[in-house]
Amino acid sequence: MAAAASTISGTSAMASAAVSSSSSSPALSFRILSECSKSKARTSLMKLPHYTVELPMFMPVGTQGTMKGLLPGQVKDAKAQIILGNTYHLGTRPGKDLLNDIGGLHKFMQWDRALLTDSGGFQMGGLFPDLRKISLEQLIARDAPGYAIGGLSGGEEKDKFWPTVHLCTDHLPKNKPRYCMGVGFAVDLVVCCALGVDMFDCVFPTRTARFGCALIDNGQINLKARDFATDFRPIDEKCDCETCKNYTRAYLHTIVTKETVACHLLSMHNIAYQMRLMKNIRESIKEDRFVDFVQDFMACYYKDQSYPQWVIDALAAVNIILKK
Amino acid sequence: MKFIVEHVSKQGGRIGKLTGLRSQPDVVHDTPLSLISTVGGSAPHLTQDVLHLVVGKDSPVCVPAQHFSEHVKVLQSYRRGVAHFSALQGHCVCVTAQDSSKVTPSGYNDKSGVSMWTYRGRQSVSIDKYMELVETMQPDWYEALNDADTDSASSKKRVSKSTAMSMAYLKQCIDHHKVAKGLQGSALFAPLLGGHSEGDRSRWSKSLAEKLEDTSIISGYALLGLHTNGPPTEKLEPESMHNLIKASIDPLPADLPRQAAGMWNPLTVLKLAEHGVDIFDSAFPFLVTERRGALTFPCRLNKTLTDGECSKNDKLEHRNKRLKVCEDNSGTKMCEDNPDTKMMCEEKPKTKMCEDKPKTKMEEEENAKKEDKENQPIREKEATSPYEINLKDKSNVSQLEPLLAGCECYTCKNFTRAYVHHLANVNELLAPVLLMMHNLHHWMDFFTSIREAIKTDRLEDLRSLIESSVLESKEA
Repeated sequence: MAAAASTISGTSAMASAAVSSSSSSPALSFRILSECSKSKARTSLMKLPHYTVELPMFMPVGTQGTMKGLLPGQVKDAKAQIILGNTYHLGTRPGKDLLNDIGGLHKFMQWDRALLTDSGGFQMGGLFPDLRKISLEQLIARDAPGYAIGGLSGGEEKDKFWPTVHLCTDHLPKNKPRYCMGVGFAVDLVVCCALGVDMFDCVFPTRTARFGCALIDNGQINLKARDFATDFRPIDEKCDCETCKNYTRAYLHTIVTKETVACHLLSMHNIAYQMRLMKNIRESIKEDRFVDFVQDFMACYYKDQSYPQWVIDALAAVNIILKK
Repeated sequence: MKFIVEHVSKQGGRIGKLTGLRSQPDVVHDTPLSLISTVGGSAPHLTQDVLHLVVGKDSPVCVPAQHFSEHVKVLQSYRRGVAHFSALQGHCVCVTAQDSSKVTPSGYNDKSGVSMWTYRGRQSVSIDKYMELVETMQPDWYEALNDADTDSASSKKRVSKSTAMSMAYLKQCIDHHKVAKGLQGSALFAPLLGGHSEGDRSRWSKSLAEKLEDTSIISGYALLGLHTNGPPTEKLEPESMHNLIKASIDPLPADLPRQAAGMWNPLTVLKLAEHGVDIFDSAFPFLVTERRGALTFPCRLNKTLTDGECSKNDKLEHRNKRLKVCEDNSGTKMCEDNPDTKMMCEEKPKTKMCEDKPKTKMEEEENAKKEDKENQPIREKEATSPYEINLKDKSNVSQLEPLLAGCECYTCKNFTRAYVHHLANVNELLAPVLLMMHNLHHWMDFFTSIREAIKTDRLEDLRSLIESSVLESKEA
C-alpha cells in the first residue's frame, strides 16, 4: 500500500552503482523519463497501487488522515497526486484495528490517489558526512524500493544542509526514488531537484496558510497586511486554483486568521502553488531547459540578484552557475 | 421584490413565491425558506465551491450589516456589493442589522446609535452610518436599523425605549431609502418589536400602519426583540412563543413576507411557520455544527423511517449498534416496531418508549412541558439537543454507518460516523466542514418538508412527527 521508505544517515564511497534507469518492486515501480544534461535533476514516473505519480513531486501533509480542512476533491483539484499520512498519529487515533475494519486509510479518508505514510521522528547521523556515508552504504545494501533522506528539517543551516543532500544523492542508486523529508520552501525545492531529489513533503504550505500567508512566485504575501485592504486582484493572476478564480486579496484580508474559511482558501491555493511549481520543474527537465528555469526562478525570487551564498554554491556543485 | 401568497393552509402556514429581486429579477424562491447564514460574508467553514455542493448557486444568503461595519470604504471602492465581494455573486442577499448566531450584548444602545460588535470590539452605528453601509452592500432586501435589545427578562422601560428608538430609526430609514440611488430595487423590511409583552407587540404592529405616512415603501417584516441572538434562542419553546408571535403577526397585511432570524429549534420554527412566518435563517444548524453535532431529527413526513433504517431493523446482528444509537439521542424510531429491539430496550430501565401505549395529544403535551422544566442533565456535559447526535461521543468511534442513514448529503454519501468522530476527536478543521455540509443539507430538507406539509395541509403531522422523536430522545 504505502511506498516503503528507509532512512539514510551516512554512506561510504560507493562502488559504481547500477546504470539502469528503472527499478521495480511489489509496491512500487520507478522509471526515469528525462534527465537534465547539466545538473542531477531528473523527471520520472513512480507507479504505486493507487496512482502513478509524476516526479519530482511535492507531497502535502495530511497527518491525521485529513488534508487540514479540505475535501479530498479540493486536494485533487489542486493537482495533488500523493499525500502524506502519519502512522504514529493514526496508530494512536483512530488506531490500527479500526482502520482495518474500515478497509484501510484510503477508504477512511476517501482519498483515491496515492498515500505515503511515515512515522516521523527520524533521528540520524545528522550533518556529519562520514556518518552519513556509513549509513548510506548499509541502506543501499538492503535494496529498498526507495530512499528517504531524513534528519534535515530541523532548521539547520542551509550551507550544511545542501552538501548532505548532495552527498546522499551522489551515492544512492539512480534508478530508485529519493525522498527528502521536510523540505517545502520553493527555493529549497528547486535546489534539491537540481541535486537529484525526487520527492518532498512539508507542512509549510498548509501551516503558513493558517497564519494568513499565501505563496507566490517571489515568496509569500501575508494577507493580514493593510496593503491588501483594497487590493481587488486574486492572490496570483496566473494561478487557476479555486481560490484565485473566485476570491480577491481584499476579501481574504477581511477574514484571514478570523474565519476557518480563510484557512481553507489559502491552503487550497498554497497546495496548488506547490503543484504548479513542481509541474514547471518537470516540464523544464523534459525539455532540457531546467537550467534556464532555475535561472529565471531565482532571478524572480531574489530581487537585484541578491542570491544567498548557499544557493549559489549548491547550484554550482551541479554545474548551474547563477548569473549575476 | 414581489411576494405572492399561493396557498394558506387550514392547519397553519402559507406557501409563497418570492421573486422580482434586485439581483435576480426572474428567479423565484418558494417560501417558507431558510436563508443561508454567513459569517464575514461566507457560509461558516464552507468555501464557495464546497457551499455549492450543498445548495443552489442562486439561493438566498443572509449577511449581517454588523460583519461589514468596518468595511464601508472597501465596499465603496469595490462597487459591486457584498455578495460579489464575498465570492457569492449569483446569490441574492438579505442584510440584517445583527448576526443572529452570536449573542448581542445587552444594554449598549443609546442616542448615538445601535451597538454592533466586530472583531475589534464595539461600534456605535448611527442611522447615517447604517444606511451608508447598507447602500454599499447592495442588498436585495434589508432590515431597517432597529433597537431589538429585548428578551423575556426585559423591563418595561427597556421595551418602550426599544420601540421608541426603533420607530425613529424606521422613519429615518424610509426617508433615506426614498432618495438613495444605491438602494433602488432593494426592499425595506420593518422590524416587529415589543419584547415579551403581547400588548406592546400588538400595539407596535398596528402602529406601523398608523404612524407611517407612506407604508407602500415597506416590503416585508422582520420579527425581532424576542431574543438577543446567539445560542440562548435555542431554548425558547414553541408554546411560550405562541401568543407573542400571534400578537406581532395578526395585525399585519397578509400579502407581505415575514422573516424571523435566529437559532430557533426545529419545533419553534414550525410554530413560527404555523403563524405565517415565511423566511428563516440557518443559524441553528450552525450552532449544532459548532458543538460537533449532526442533525438527525426526522424531517420527512411520508416515511417515519428512512430506507437505511428499514433494512437495518431486519438484521439481528445490528441490535447492539442500534442500542447505542438509542442512547445517542439520534431521534430515530426503532423500538416500537420491532419486538426484538423492544426486549433489549426493556432491559434498560431508562428507556420507557416501548412500554408506553400511544398517548393522547394532551398527555404528550403535558409530558413535553415536564421535560422542559426538569432540564434533562446532559451526558458528559456536552451541549447537545434531542435533534442531533454528538460526534465527540465515544460511542461513534467504530460506527461504520453515515451520520444519518438515508441522508443524501456529501458527508453521508462519502464518510462514516467513525471518520467524523476521529476528526472531531483530534480537533481537525475538516470536522466542522463535513458537519456544516450535513447540517445545512438536513436543514434545507426540513424546509422542503415544511413546504410540502403546508401544501398538503399536514403541518400538524410534521410537527407531531418531530415532537414524538424529541420526546423519545429525551427519555432515552
